[in-house]
Amino acid sequence: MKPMSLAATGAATSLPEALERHVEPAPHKAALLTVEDLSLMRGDSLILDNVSFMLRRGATLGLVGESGAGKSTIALALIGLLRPPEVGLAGRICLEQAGDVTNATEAAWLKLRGRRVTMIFQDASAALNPCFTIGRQIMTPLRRVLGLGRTAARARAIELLESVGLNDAPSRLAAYPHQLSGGMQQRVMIAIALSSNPDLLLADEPTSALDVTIQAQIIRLIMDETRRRAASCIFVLHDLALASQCCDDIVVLYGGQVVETGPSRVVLSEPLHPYTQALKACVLELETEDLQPLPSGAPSFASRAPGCRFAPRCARALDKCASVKPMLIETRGRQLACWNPA
Amino acid sequence: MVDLAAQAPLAGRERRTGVFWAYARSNVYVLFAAAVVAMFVLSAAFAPLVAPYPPLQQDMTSFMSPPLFEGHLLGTDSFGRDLLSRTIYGARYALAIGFGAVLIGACGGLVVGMAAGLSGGTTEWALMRFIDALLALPSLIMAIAFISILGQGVDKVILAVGVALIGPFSRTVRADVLQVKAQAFVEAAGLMGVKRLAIVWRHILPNVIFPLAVQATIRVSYAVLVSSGLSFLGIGVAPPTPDWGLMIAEGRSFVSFAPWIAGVPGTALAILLIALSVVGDGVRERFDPKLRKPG
Amino acid sequence: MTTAPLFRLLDVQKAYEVGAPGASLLARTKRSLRALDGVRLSLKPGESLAIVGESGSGKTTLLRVLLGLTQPTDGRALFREKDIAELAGADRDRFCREVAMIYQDARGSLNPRMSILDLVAEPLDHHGLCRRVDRRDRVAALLMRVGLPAEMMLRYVSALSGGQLRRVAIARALASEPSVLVADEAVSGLDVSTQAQLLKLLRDLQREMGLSLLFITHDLGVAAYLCERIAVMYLGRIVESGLTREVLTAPAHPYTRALLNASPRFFAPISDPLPGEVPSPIDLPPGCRFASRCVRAEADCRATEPPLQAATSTREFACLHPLIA
Repeated sequence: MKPMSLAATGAATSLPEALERHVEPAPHKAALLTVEDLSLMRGDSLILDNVSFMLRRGATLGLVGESGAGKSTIALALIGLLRPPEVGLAGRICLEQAGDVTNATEAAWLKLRGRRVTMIFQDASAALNPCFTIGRQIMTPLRRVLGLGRTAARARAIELLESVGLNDAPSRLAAYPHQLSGGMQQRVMIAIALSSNPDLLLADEPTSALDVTIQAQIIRLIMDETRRRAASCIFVLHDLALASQCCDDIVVLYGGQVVETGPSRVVLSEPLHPYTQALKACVLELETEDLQPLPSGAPSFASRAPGCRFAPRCARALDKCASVKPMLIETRGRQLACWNPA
Repeated sequence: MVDLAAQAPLAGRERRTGVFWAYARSNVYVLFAAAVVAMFVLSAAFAPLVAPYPPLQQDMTSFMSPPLFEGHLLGTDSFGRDLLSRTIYGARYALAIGFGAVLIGACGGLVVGMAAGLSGGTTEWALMRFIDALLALPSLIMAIAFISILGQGVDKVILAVGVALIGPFSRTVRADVLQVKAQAFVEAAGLMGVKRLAIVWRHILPNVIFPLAVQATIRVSYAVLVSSGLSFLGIGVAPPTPDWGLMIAEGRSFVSFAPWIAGVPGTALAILLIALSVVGDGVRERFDPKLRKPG
Repeated sequence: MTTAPLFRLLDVQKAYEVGAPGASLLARTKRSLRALDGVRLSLKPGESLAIVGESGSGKTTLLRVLLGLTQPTDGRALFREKDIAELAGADRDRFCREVAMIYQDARGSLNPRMSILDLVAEPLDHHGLCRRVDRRDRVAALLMRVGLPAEMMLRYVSALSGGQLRRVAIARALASEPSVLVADEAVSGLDVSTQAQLLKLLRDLQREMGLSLLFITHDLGVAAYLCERIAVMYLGRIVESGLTREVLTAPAHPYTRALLNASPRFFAPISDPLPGEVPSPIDLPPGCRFASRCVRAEADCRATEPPLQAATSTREFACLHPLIA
């Protein structure tokens, strides 16, 4: 987040030409990823409770919720970094052309991870190794995973850096991570993640650590690059407004349970679940006069606790809510899990 | 991102025992080691009641008898003194020297380390060089040097080993002081207008004493080892004091045909040191991470 | 009769000497890093002011100057018309009592070895604001005012959650009966629901007690909700200031507009983001410091530094070609 020496030498970054070639293909109907009743247990805690959603090819999906809701857990499970025996997994994760990967072995995941499914993380400065140059870190997956030779990898690395908006790419290759600003480091992460032309890019809060003007650049970059490659993207976000801007579909999570899911335009313009409504009411717009905060409380992750996990804090809770878990039912254009929606 | 809960349930008394048993289940070794240390401490404290024979009583009729021989559970040494009794009394000296030396080292280290961490400019520089000088000499060598000045004897050993430990302690104290000084709550107290001395007393000292106590627990075993080393070399406590290091030295000549004379105090020393180290580690694991927990 | 301002900053400058980047070890050239470059600001009693800026804007340095933790290298920083750096004795005590700070890192700003009771009572004890017998009652009242149960005073910092600790920090700030609350990103990094609770609390407190509030944030929504006035900073200068409602509905400076565009709003498409990155504050080129990223920059922008000019009695901006007249 600090302006670094390379920025000071006047090598200002520019918007990628990709913006001029802005392509907006309509997402296909075909499902790239289907998650059915995914449950994840760690010790005695049921971190994810029957999570189901679907991601179409070429679409962006937002996993939205507060901290502890399980969004990052889902992302890690989707890239095979949370697997048995560390955690207990039930349900199905189906990736197109690879089938059911829920119980895939590490060997099988090695063929997917970094090739078809890639991930970028919140803190780029922690994700990049400070001991190696940027060039080395970009070229290593190109050479190991894609099998390119030295010169071909270097050429491709320069191409990738330019496509993410870092000009003066050859000198960037020789730079170390600490010489780049936060925004530039995140662009490098995106370049690495996109280098294998993945089908699915997972972005775990990619902009939370960045300034708001840089955030806009990075989100735009991710959206354009994934659209250009006809890849799908899953954003893990806590910012509802940002989710409405960059995600086609949205999954709202509370305490590891899906409370509402559907096209973001439908869900966020007229939320039906009390939690989604409360969350939306807490988002500060410039005209907000009154805030109606949610009562405090934390969800219980006990595996044997029945019912909706939001019930203790819900103003509309019925007796049924604490004992019987609501199912996801198609309601007014989205899937809703609530016994007493507004 | 911080957590959801704004209302954590207030833990009642009954939760504490639950926490204790959970800790016990996952740290069996630490508790076992603590029990061993407790056994040593208790038998040392009640030595006259526990030891079957007086430690200095010689019985030339059964000298150098092996363990489990009529009446002597762990055998006798070359003077016919019962090894079990001598080992039990030896625990007194080992523990007294260990804890006493650490106490001196910790207090001295606290003073020097705080002064070094809180001052600036030339004072700090001078104190740092002083600490560097203390650290340059290995503790054992420094203890030997002090003994040569002070003479032999239990109290002299405690003093010598204690002074030798001031260097390492002051280094850790200074590092802790620097870390605590940089915390936001110290700055916040300054903004409130609290005077410097009050800040040191109320904010810095309590946060430094705790890690120091944890460090001290770890170093007790080292102090016991150094003192036993001094006694083994013949410059610690004077014979016929039943000190383990001395007993090992006395048993050195008989190792091939009466190994128990050196073996019994040696094993006792090893067991005590291991137990102390495990307890020290357990204490550190339990308490240190909480202190260094980020916001 | 106009009320005298509590804080006044007159052309405050804070420069640091740094080694030139890329110079050899033996080079003696030093460059100047202007963290604050000519800031003019005032805060009246009862007023709430939001200071908005991104990283490198100098808002943290501004805060430190206001609290007396750093001295400006040029210009004057005044509290009740006296130089903050030279406050001593009774004036200094008054300053410490009247200005209360709420840190971003609430957990780090509370001594982990002290009970909540001692932590909140520390200002009471230090400034002698209540008798020993009343101490517990006062602390209980303060805790309840911020929405925490009174029994919490017996607990320690490690047992409380982040949201609860922020409230404790607010309670402690209120304990000295201040006239100004200064908060440095006090609600960032929190879940939206906790953030909403704390913001509502702060706004209610400020209105009920007539406190002045100086709130540093990067979030325009928070600034709009909490503060009636706003000052936008960029690279050590205030580029626009005025009534929050006016500034945010009709910004004059292109940077303010860029910030508005970049702030996520429901269903607004992500418009062309501001290009480039914040330039290094070391040895800035002449002219407007925003010119390198401004889509409206013209020749005169790169030649002369625009002064902060007052458009109306409440509105100021520093731009040669503003968005509004």
